[in-house]
Amino acid sequence: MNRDRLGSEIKLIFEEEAKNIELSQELRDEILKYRKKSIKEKISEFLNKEIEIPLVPVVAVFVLVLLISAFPKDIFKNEDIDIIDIGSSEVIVRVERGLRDND
Amino acid sequence: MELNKEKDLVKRLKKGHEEAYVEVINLYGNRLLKTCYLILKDRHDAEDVVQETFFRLFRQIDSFKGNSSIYTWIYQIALNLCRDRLKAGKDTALFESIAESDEKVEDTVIESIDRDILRKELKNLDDLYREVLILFYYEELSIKEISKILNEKEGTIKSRLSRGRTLLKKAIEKGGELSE
Repeated sequence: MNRDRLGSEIKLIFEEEAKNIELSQELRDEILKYRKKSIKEKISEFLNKEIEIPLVPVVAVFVLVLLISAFPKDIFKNEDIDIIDIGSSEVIVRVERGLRDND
Repeated sequence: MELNKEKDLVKRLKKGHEEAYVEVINLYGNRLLKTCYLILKDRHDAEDVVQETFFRLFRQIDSFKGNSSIYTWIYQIALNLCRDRLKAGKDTALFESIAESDEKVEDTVIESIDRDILRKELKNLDDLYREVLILFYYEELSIKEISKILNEKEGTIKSRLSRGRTLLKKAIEKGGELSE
């Protein structure tokens, strides 16, 4: 059972058999690909991530926003407001559009 | 490996430090590949097992509590993978004939050992015995360490070692034919 002559011979044979077996650089690199990443690396990876932007929907939304902002805000307002300054007072006159048109 | 050094290594592995991963591969990679090759007798299979072992180690490193050494843990994973491969390649299940251990033959001192015969018989030896012989003689692990790695009782390991040696001695005496 102990490491006697037979044991030494067995060891020698095993050493001989495994003599040319080495971990290749390729395998080392492959193994390292699966290592756990540090927080720093995770952040850096996230920041350097390529993001695919779907151009059509983005352009459509952009155009929509542009149109909304260009549209006159008071188009649906049914009244005009005139402010008349009298001395230190202001008089606000609201005139309904329909009425003005009939004037 | 010193306990403090190992604790530090595990800590760095958990934090994801690249140099710790390189260190663990440098420390155990080559030796592990050689052992797996001796067990599986196939370089490609051995490389697959080593790769899978490190993948599992990296994936499970956060759950490593340090109850055993990282070396034992790596070898536990690797040897289980080796056993799975050996089982997959066999139609019949392995069986152990511990009771048959021939003490007389075990005690016999072989005067001259023909290395070629021994080499041939080692190759033909049942995987169950070959595995223990590799861990004991090649890896120079203690019975206790082997029992921990293989998750078997120390007595079982001793029996397998003794049986393996007996089979080899018998074969050498007969001039190169294993009785099993």
